[in-house]
Amino acid sequence: MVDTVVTLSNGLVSFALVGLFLLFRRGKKTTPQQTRAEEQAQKNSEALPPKTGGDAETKPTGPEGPVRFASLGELASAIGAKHLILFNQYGIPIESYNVREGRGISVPLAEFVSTMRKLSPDFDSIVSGDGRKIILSSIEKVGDIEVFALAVGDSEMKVKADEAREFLKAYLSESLGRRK
Amino acid sequence: MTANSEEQLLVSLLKASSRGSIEMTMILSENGTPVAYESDNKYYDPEYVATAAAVISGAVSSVMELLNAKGYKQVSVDLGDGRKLLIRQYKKQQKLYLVCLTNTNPNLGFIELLLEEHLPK
Repeated sequence: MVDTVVTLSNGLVSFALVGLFLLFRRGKKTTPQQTRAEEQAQKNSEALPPKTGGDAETKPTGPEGPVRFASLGELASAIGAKHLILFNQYGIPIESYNVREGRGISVPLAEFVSTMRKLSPDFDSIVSGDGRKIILSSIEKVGDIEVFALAVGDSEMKVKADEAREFLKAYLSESLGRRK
Repeated sequence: MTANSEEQLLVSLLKASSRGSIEMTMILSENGTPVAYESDNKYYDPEYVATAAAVISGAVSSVMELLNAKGYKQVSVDLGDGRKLLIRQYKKQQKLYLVCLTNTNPNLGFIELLLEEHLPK
């Protein structure tokens, strides 16, 4: 009888330890900022338009009007990007999500864009593989400043490059306080 | 201060959209008269700031003339504590200038984008 009780207790302890370990790992992977962003992004992704075939232009609108993102983190989660950075043609970071040393990334990227434009003046964007894991793209020109974005996902992103660009454009407009 | 609604709207919009990077923003005339002003810091005196900014922009304009340069887009003064004072021509014909004083750790990429978006080309 005593042996049985001991065995049961050991089993429960092991179960509890495994549970704690899993909880710890999960807690370590997501920061509170990411969790909040993902929660909000989930809400927004429900408002995303259904995917359409072909190359039809996608407007950043949902069934209840334009999709709005309160932060770049929300937008990153909605498109499925793990890292996202906006920067200008001089390599100055404008805003980033989950990116350390923004300038260390944006400066070489701006140089890369500049080099590519020497070879191909109409260079606009570059995407990896099927275009769903890494996207480097010009978003829009604001006066003399051209805004670029780099989005990197762990796996396939939730949207195509063109859609991601439209969302980034909409986010930028909102951030700059443009009147509709 | 002769606050014009258009100018006042602009300085308020710039400060509100800057995500805390801009501490103070103002529009002033060439002779150092403040036209519009926005700041949460009650210790800044708009009259003094406008006078100082007019002196800086006047000095830079004189240097530009000496160098036969066409003009300048922006004057950036790096303050000792990490803040920056940015001066831009706002309306050339009316000789108005826009001044922004940033916080100690400003997001310059975003501020410059804001100015580019909202200032007349």
